[in-house]
Amino acid sequence: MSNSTKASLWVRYTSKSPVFVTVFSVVLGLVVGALVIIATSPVILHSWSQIFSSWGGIFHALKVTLDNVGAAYRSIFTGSIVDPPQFWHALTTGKDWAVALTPISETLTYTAPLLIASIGVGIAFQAGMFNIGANGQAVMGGIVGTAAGSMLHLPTAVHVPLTLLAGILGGVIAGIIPGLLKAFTGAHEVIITLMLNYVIAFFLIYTLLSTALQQPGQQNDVSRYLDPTAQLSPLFGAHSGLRVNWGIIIAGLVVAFAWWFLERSTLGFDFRVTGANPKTAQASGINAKVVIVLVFLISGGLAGLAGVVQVSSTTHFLDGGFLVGSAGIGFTAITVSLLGRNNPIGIIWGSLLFAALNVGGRVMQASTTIPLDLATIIQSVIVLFVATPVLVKEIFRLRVEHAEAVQLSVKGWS
Amino acid sequence: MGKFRRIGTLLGSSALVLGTMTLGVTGSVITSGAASAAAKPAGCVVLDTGGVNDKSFNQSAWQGAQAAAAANKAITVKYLTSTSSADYTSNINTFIQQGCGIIVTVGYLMGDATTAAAKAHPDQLFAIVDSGPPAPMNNLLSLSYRTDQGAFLGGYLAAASSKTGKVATFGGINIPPVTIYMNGFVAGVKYYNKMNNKSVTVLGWTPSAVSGGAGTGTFANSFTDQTAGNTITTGLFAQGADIVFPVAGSVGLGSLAAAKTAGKGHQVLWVDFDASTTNAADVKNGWFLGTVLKGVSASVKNAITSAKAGTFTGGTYTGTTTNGGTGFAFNDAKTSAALKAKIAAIAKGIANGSISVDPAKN
Amino acid sequence: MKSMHLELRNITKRFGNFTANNKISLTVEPGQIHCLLGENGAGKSTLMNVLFGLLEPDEGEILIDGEPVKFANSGEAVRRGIGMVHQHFMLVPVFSVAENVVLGFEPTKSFGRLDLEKASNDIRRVSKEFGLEVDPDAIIEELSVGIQQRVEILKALNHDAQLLILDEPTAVLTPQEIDSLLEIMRSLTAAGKSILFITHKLKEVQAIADVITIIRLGEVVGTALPSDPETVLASKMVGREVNLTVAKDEVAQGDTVLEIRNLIVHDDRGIPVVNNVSLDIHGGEILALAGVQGNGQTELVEAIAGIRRVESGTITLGGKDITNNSPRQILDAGLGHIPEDRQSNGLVLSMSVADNMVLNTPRRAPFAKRGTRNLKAVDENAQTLVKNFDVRTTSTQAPLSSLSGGNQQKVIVARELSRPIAALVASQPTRGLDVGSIEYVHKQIVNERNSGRGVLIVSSELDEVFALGDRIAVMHNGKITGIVPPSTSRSDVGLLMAGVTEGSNE
Repeated sequence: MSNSTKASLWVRYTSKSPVFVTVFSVVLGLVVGALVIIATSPVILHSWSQIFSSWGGIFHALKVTLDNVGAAYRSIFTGSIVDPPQFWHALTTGKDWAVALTPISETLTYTAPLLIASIGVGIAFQAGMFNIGANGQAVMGGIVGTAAGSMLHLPTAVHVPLTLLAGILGGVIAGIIPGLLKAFTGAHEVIITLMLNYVIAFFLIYTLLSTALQQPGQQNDVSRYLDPTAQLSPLFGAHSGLRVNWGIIIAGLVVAFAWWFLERSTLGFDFRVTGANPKTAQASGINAKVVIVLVFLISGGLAGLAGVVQVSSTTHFLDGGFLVGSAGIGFTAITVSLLGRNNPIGIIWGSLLFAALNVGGRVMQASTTIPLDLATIIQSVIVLFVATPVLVKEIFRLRVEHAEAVQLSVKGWS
Repeated sequence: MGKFRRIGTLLGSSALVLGTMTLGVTGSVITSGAASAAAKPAGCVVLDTGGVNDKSFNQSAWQGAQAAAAANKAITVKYLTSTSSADYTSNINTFIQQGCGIIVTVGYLMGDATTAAAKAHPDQLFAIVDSGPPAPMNNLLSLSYRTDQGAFLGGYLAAASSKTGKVATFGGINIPPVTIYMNGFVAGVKYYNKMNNKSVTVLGWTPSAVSGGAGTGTFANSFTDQTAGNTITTGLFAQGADIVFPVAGSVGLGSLAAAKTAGKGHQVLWVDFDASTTNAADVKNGWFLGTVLKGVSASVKNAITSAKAGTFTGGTYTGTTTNGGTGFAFNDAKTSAALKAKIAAIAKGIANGSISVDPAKN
Repeated sequence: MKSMHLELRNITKRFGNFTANNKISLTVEPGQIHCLLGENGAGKSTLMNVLFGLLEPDEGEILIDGEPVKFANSGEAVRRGIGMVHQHFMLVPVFSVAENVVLGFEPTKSFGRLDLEKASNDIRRVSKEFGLEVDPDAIIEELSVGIQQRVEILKALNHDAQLLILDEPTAVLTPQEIDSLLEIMRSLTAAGKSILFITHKLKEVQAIADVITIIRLGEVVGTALPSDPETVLASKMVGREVNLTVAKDEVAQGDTVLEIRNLIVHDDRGIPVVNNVSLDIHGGEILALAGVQGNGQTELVEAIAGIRRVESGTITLGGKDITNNSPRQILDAGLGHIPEDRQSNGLVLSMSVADNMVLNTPRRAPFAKRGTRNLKAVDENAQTLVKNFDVRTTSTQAPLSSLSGGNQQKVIVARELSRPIAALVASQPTRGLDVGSIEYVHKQIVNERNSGRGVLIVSSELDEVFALGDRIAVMHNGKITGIVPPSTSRSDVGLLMAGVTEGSNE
């Protein structure tokens, strides 16, 4: 015990929880991002090339560096959360609230589908299954949801829920395929889900070029519009100028459901036991096949919901680029889930962070000309550090956790 | 042709499993006239998901903006890349808040978002590439291009240059922005046959016998899969073609590789982006017959310049062979003056309507 | 004759604020068998890993022939003449004995060609010298566990080891194989080699040790003589008085509760490893199934628990046919199961003690209602069981990984015995447990029997088999080679374990 009392407060606080590893990873991500800004900014590089040409050149270079890096991160913050002067202006004059609230509204708009998809991936992770097909399932949700939202014509009270259900159904269809294949043939879910992403990507193009879904008068791969009755309306009305919409409320409900499911439900208990120790799960009477199928049903359903929320809250139509490339929230969801340690509360923070970096990164590019790619770099670096906790602990001199040491010392005996 | 790139990125990033791991830093273009972030930019370009280096219309649009800035020191330009259609509105709004002189949106998918923004902000000028509002608007200029005209010229030149009497084309995906080129190409070949009493045949694409109908042909089902481009092109060469026109983005690089493998006498007809700027060495060595151009760059430059000068007018601009909106770039050193003159004459004929580029009418 | 004098001085090794070894000193004289006796988690393995160069000590030093040495890795330890035979063998199953022995130190002819002939001759020479009979050309996977262990020892000797560390070497051996191992150890010491012998089996210590050092909680608590009685050794090791014999009252035998008829079960490779086994377990009876590990006991128990398919034959529990039922149905039919490998088959280490206590009954009242768990009831259940079964834990919500092996086992025992069951199947119920926990688990198992349940114990520890069994069944090569009363001599049971039945030529 004497050892631990000698340890500094820093060490004692930071070694307690893996949350610190995540927080420090975010810090490291921002540091690396700053280095990238410095290394690629002609203005900064020019100032450093001039440090010997005049007295105080080095101070000038430092100032230029700090100004530019500061401006970049400031614009990410003001672009994704709040710009204090604008907010103060709105507070004191009571005017221009829409402008003041736009950054956080945008962040929440982007958060909603990402959060839902990440919860779906996280639940699968908790059950020990790797759902790399979340993106395809979300696309499927978008397709079926768009079909229901554009081809049916119903009053809002029925149409919105029906559209969302259709989206869930689409995700379930795409998710149940790998689920059944894994449960009954032992096929590896990573391969199947990964490959189904391609199948569904081409299915998307096919449906968008089909007469059923293609926008009338269009020859391109664009779908019909969702009926206004099938759209998730902005929370503060269509004329508020704020895009934040019912999607974020739905995402909140999904988080609440996931928390209850994992922490309180008997089925969630089965999932967690299966994820932590499949052999024990089997010996404890948990039917692995049923769990596998249900995991993919729930995970796929949530991914499908994410897809339909994306369509019905922002674009209101589908195109060939739906959830493709860096817009592929189903792939980002894997990262976010990892970042949030597959826990619903952690995933909230993870998806808010990623959405804010995207939204703020855009404003950064528009106001400082540093490309949005920087946000992607920061995200990637954060994930790399989260995936290598040992490295983070080494950099910040965090103490190796006690439990690990004990396990190591008794290993030879068990 | 924006969506072509997006499909490519899907394949790339899902292979990487973690979609966010794609570190797309290489070649990030820093805005022209960078330093003064405070000044209001004159031209702001919202790119579609292909991004600024897509070697297609996004890149062309941004080059047009840069050209405008280069020609006039008072003009600063900026761009934002969309990662998906969900970003269009967000990007447009960001530029509106920045007080841009004119916002240029790129791609037909941005049509609705642009129209809506133009309606909501009647004082803000807009231009959109490859799309337009249902009804003309004063503050929105729609930029469209008759690429079949340029392709027609390419088809004629290909037919005139073929030693085997067989030329070929194939597409990325079977959608109108692709097949319009292929139709123009076939029409050009047919026109050559009619004029010269020859019977050069086209492999890879059979247009509909009716104007505007659907044709059938060969597609790579990708805009990035160079292996597919190589395989398809090698097959077309094997069937006797000596000139291939791939309308498939960077899939065409596979065609170039196939031509080099097949050896001298096999050529590629390039698309959109002048090959002499992207693949100068290969042009010099004669692997390219020429390029069917799409004049996105010039039209965007004009839009920004006119907005700055206060001479902007809304409505529709149609890029044709006469106004530089489409056209043909020769492989200068390798094309005879007589043929160049002949093609220039045909371009005039297309311009005055005496020559139709519809394959059904040739 | 080469030899080694080894001294460990004040070796201290900490992991965070946990001290695994605290100022441990001991000396091994040439030609001596030095026994390191201690409970699990006492720090024996840590100490050996320090000595073998796998861990770096925080304090203290290692002296070889009076000269301080430091090992950065195990290769350096090997070069200084230290050899280690691990509990889990480090052999390549598809290689021959000779290939395995020279692995990493291959003798070569010109152009780097492997000189297997030289290797074989070396092995024959060393074998003969120490009475370690092994065919150099045999393939490892075709050899018995006892012979494989000899190969491990040969490997160490081939590297010219002067000091051998044997880490729990007898756990995997039959009584006869243990005897021959002890014989080999004697011939090694006669040749001047020293041996550090790690074990917690008191009988072996008494049989072979020259010097005994007892370790408890990372510290040396004293030395003992081989002639000291078992109870003295045990109480020094545990730190209190221990009762090594289990008190068993006579109980009237009831009806058959678990009936196994002509059972055939395959292993993962599809080879029949349980071959026509029939057993009857009566209420109020403990049937102890003895046998060397790997003779089909594991698969037999898995088949009973429903986690391995029965190819043919029947299993009946309380009159109900449970053959190839799902684990859930079998649990509900009243089977209590203490699995052989508790960490991989019976527990979830990352979950709380309370959750583990209801691992196979999460849906039963009052633990859940309509799909929602009642965490209060789950915790109350855990509080009661922790108290009743003396589980040492800081909290019922602590993750199971924070408990010692013995207490983890108690969690399983508590869980299985607190359910209404008709029969209990306990596989290696005290493996890896310290003497104190063994005593406790044995008492609980006898209690079950006393209250009329049928109990099947599977154990490779003869002590346990004789202490608990009302009848002893012996399994060899998938077959029951005999069912004998506990009054049978150990050597007779040992013969049955080796597959030698009366009138058979095996």
